[in-house]
Amino acid sequence: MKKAIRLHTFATVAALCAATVVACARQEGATQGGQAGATTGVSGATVGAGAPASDFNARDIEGKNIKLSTYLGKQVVLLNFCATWCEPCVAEFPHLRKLYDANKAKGFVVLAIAMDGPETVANVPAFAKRNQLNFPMLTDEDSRIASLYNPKKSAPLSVLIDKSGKVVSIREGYNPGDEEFLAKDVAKAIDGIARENAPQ
Amino acid sequence: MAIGRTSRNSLAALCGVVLLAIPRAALAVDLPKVDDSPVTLDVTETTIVAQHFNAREGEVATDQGYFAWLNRLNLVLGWKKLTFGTRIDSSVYTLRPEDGDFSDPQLKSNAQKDGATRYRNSLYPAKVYLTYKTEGLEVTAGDAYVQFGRGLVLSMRKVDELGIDTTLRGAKIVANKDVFGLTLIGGIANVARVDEPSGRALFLPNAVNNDLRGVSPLFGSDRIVGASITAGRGQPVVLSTNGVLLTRCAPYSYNANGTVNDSTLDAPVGTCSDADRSTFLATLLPRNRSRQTVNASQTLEIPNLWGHGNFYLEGAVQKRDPDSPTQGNSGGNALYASLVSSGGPLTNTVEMKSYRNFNPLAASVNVSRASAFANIAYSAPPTAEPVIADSMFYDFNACVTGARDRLDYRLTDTMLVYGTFGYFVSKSEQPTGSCDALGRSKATDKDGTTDFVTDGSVGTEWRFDDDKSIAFLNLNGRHDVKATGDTYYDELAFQYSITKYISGPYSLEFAGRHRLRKQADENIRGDSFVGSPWRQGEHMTALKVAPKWILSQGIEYTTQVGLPTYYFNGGILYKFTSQSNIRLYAGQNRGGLRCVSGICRVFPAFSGARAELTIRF
Repeated sequence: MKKAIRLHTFATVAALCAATVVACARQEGATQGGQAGATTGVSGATVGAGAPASDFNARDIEGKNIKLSTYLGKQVVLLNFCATWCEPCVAEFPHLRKLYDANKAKGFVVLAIAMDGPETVANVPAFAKRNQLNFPMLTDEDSRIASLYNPKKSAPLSVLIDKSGKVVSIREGYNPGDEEFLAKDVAKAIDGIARENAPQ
Repeated sequence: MAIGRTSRNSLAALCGVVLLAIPRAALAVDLPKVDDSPVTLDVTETTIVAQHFNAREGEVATDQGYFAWLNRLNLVLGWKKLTFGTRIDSSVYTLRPEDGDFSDPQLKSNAQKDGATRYRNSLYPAKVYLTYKTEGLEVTAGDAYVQFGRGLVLSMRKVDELGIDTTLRGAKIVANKDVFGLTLIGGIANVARVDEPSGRALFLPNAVNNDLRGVSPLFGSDRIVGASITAGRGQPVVLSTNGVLLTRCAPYSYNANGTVNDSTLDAPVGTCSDADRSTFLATLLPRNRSRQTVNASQTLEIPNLWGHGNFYLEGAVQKRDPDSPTQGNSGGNALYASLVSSGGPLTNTVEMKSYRNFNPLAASVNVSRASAFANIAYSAPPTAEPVIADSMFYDFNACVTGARDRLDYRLTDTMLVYGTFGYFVSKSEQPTGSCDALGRSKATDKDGTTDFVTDGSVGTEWRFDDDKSIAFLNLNGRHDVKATGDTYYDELAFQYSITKYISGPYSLEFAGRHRLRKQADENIRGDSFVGSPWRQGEHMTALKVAPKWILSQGIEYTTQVGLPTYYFNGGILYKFTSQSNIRLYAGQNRGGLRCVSGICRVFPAFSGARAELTIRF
């Protein structure tokens, strides 16, 4: 038993250290490689920044089928995981609305993803309405989308995907002031589009 | 010896992780292309270390005093149209109650018996799956979350707040073509085996001297097959037909002397032989002993009512096998509907439910030895309860009829007010209550087991400081009276969450809930035989520094007889990247029932220190 505990301890510490080292690399990549990937299309898959977004198919609250791949490669996409019981999500929504309004003409789209289960999913349409959302809200009752992007089911959690279809940042939680950091991420991703479309 | 070394190692690991997170040196990890296609790797690593202090007066001694280290490593590999994912869970416990010195040998023996299903060191693949996804088709082998309709028939999913993470381990095929959709599933239920708050585990128990219960398995081999057919995807009217069959089998075969044959090769996925199954099912609650249960439902949805809302209706039937202990009352049915309507500043949501002898598909858990897992079920009929409501007792939803309405009115762009009202009649909230498929009470004391529940709330959401500050305020009450006229439960509560932006990255949050509660036969004082009211609540103050820090301090209290009155705690959250963080927490938490929208479980009290590290990349 003691041997098993020691083995487990060693394995876990090793996994943690490796994970943290890679996470640090990932953090650095988000500010350097990620941007490069967005503009030059880095060949080869790097862990973290620049990882291609996984496609999914879901229904919005009006019954329309939405496929992420419809937007990939054409627009900058922000996936915002939320839930009707999540108060920080409600606090973040006004800023997402403004962000969307300011950038939608530049090729930016927001897809809110409600992680509500059967107990509360009936409230999702009213939740979107009373929060005056001006972008689509999808439902993810069986956690299929969350298992791809948000296995811990954190709310809110924002995943930013650049025009090349690569994840460039993930932000968990919301506190006042966080919206400015998210806006900078979005501006960077959109800047990639602008540079790509600029006359040579 | 192992205890000391493990503790030191865990602390060293924690320090190492924090230190490793600080460097800014550029590092890179590349995965090579395979067949000229990129390989992606997503990792979410969560590790939790917690030292529980000794129990306070009124708390259960065996719930406290131990050190726990739990780890969850999520890996998702993507290549072309394939996705492979796994989650490796592990747990290490030291300083367990049974390791302590007891002056009374009986206490030591009791701790050992309790420890047979608790504080178990483990390392196992909690989830494993391989998914192939192409246009209109998704095939998963391994673990998959799955839900049909609104969960009346099937809902296998994750509810972090309650420690639930249930998947179907087998095959799941989802095919969509134009307006049609088809989902086929088959496999064995796979639940989280370790309950973090209580340390209880669903592994085969340890053998303990003088424990007459022996080494009996705690969790069965629950086989589930089902199908869902949808017509009208993307159309004005969507219809779905859903069906599920749950078959309960024994997780192990039994030897002639009644002991478990735990050889890996003997029955790797359990056995459905009559003898083994009967032996295992006898350890479950009588209402969960049905060998087979069929759930089926038909849904009708109008997702868009001319741009002013939507409508959903689901009717379901349930048939439990006639060999079950509820023979003669083995059929149930359910009707659930929701209607959302909106216009101008008004939004209204009404939910209606009428369930008659309709039970959730409970997991085959021996709750007498693993009560922490008692709430695991493979279906979740909507409760129409507020998310924080924790006052639906026993099998409240099995025989219930009622509705809840919520009306929102947007006063200004930054202010919303709302009110809710619910009325329910339950014939299964009392332990001796039950009903038949027509909703008629089957209890001997019909009036004493029929509850009329009224509840309501008013509240507001108000944003200010250019949307950087926000206040949520809510006042709610609940009144539950039996048909005899006796009050069963009363509550009045005030809830608030106010975030005030200060300047720059700084903001303050004040959040809490304060309740006045009264329940029959609870909180009995002195010589009285009736429950007396008690106060209970919590308040939290937090300083937030975007985007890195949250510093919080909290207090909880209860005036319930026999429990400590005050509980103090504090925490720090530090985000060392936008998606990775560490939470440090120390102090005390009140134990008791907690619910998420009507799904409840009892949490043990907590006193101690806890660190949770989450790394994503």
